[in-house]
Amino acid sequence: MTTLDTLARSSAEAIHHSVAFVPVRPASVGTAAGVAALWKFGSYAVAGALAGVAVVGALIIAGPDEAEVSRDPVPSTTVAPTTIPIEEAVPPTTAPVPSAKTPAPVVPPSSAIAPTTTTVSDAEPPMLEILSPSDGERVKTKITTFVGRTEPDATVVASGKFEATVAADGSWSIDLVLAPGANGVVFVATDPAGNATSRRMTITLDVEEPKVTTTTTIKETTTTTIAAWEFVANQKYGSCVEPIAYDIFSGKATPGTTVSISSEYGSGTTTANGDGTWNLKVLFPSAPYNKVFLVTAKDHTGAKRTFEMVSLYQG
Amino acid sequence: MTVRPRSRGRSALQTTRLSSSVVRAREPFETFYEREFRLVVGLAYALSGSRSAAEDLAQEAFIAAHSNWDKIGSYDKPEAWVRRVVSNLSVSRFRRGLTEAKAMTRLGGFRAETAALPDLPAEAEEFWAHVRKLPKRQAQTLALHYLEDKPVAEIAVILECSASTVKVHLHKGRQRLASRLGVNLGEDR
Repeated sequence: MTTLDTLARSSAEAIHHSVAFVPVRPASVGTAAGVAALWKFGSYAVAGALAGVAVVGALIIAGPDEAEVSRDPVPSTTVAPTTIPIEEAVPPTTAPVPSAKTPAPVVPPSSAIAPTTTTVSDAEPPMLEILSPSDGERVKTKITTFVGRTEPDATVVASGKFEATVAADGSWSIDLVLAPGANGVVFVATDPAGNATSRRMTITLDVEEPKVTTTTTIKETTTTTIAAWEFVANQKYGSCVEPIAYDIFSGKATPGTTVSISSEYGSGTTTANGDGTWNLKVLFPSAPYNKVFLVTAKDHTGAKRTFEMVSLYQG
Repeated sequence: MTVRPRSRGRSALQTTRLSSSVVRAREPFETFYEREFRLVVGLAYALSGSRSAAEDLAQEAFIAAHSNWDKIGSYDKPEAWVRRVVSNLSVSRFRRGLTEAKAMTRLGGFRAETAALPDLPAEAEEFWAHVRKLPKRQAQTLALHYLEDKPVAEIAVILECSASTVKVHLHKGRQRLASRLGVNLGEDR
């Protein structure tokens, strides 16, 4: 007799078979989105525009194992995709190409004083060292300074978005605010030729419990003073597909104090409970489709936490 | 310079995001797109029931991922994010379609769907139609479980809930589905 699981398996296979011939190279992206995109996978330079954002060039940031990309549009379940090295497919674009109207530069004779310059393609990834803190280290301060060394002209980016300050001698530093617990950080150094080196590390922020201090007055009455609690704010979703975008925020703050959430597209306030916890649902009725905006949570002392939010509802 | 990485607290996705940086650097978007696109279209097809809309829904999710690739690409499982978005969009699309169909019926009209994907066999069509009629979370859980053979822990990450919640959805969904289809549950899962 047919069971649910055998029926489910055959139904899943039917779906797989149905989508096996969906082209991965879209001619247009989403009629509903009304956004056209052109993907030029033939040359493996993604020369296209998605949602109004131009993307030029390959997005390789690290790893020789990522330097090969499948170019076969046929589903891998039926035909094994062939791979080609990305360097082979992407024509170098860093060297300027003189146009027909531009006169060729005058080359000085070999007897001239000025030395002849030769352009050598730089294929070597930049050096990247993290001098402090060390991998696996435990710290107690939320703001931690990471320092290291790289090549003088290279840029260093932490976790894909935070750019470090690189000095002329190649030393770099960046202050990162850590979340309680384990924090994974990836540093990527990229030289002007586009070569990249990445280093990853884990650093743990040890969190202390909120302190409660007790003082006794000379009138023999006991007063319990609760020190200002460390403000904790968490975001539940970060995106919303509902017609009216919303998100739920929660955390801890000094009991009885006001916590406010604000953004360009919606805001709200709440009061921390007796145990310091707070919870607030905030609507963003005017949030535009697919635009990331910032939401700030603030306690009574002015301590802030910032989150990103995006509405994915297209009316 | 002081910068503040987002502190998102307790969600399952955030947990993986923290560990993501430990595991790898960001993957190129086009590699991710090529690997995941068909699978996500399949998920959209199963949950929306619309052949013509499945590709659009998947594209919409990938456009959103691409627009925010700096952030999403650094997640441990960006594919989980895309699946969550597309499963929510697909269920919404299916329910909106039902409402539209009822309205069109009242108005005496009809809406012909432009086929973008091949038809499913009648048995499979019936199976997924019953899945779509389940409560939203149960439908999403069963689609991820049966279609992509995802383990409970991974479904929990995708749907941003606990593993035990997934187990409950899986249990109730399978019971209800078997009852509606008039079949036994089976022993292999």
